[in-house]
Amino acid sequence: MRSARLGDREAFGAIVERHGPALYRFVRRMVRDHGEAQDVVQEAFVAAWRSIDRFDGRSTLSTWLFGIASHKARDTLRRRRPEPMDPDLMTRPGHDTIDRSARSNPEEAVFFTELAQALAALPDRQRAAWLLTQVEGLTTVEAAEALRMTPDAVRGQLARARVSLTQRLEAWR
Amino acid sequence: MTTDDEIMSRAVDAFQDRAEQESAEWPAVASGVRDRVRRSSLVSRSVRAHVADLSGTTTFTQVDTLVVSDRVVVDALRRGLSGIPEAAAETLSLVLDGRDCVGVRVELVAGYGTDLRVLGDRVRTLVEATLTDTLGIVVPVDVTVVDVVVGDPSR
Repeated sequence: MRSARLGDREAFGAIVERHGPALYRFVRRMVRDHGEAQDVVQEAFVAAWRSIDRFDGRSTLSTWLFGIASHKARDTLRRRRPEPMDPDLMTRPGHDTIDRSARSNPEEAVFFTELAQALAALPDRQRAAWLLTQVEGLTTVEAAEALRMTPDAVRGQLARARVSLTQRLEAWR
Repeated sequence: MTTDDEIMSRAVDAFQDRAEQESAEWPAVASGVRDRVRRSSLVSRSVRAHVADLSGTTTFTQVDTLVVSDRVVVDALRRGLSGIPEAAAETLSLVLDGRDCVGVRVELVAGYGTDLRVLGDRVRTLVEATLTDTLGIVVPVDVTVVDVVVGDPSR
């Protein structure tokens, strides 16, 4: 970390290898497109490389990187042209392009597809808060730092996300 | 009847079960990230180098100008300091007056038990040698030990 802050590309490469998979998973779930996720993660790491000398260690490196990635992902989503909502989105089983478990466990695959769709329908901040805390294991305080919100605001986003997700997954009770 | 908690727990498990599949896409993404970082230059400042004339007198070049990025100098300092295992550089910066380097600031984290005075002298000597090689000058070197840690200070 210290070497990376002093401009050591090799040391920064080690940071990319360590934190990249989690960042990619998070961004992939935020933007739901492999190509866009790839671009966002590249932009996030370039931004991190250029500003790593200003990383002051007040948050963990992981939280700092999630913050940059989240900001870039939400920028990408804002730039997208608004698309009309598919009225069948919540009821029709979809296709998650990276789900390979459909053959071995079809019911779980359908559940996951509907979950992914329900998650995609959440507002960006709710989706980011839910993914960071529930899937990537950040604490509420860390998620708040990453999303530049207060911890109470994150708790509010999580509560709303939970209500929306459970409503949309009602059929799985 | 499945409760809300059970639905949420299943949702989290579903994502975590797929983490390995999703990570399988990472190597292809990683090579793109490495390429982009390699092509990204960092913000740098120009520093005027001094050259010795045939009489051995160090002076500014009168006709030709040799300018070096401060990144080049800092990289050279970082590589040099990486050969001192009992310390790690926390900050390395050139003090500039316009394009002239008038000093170097070094902040170090030292390993527990290191003789800090000896360490400071060693670092100062190394920095002066590197400055002479890269810029042809000797300037004041301000060495500060900002932390002492048990174990490897580069971690």
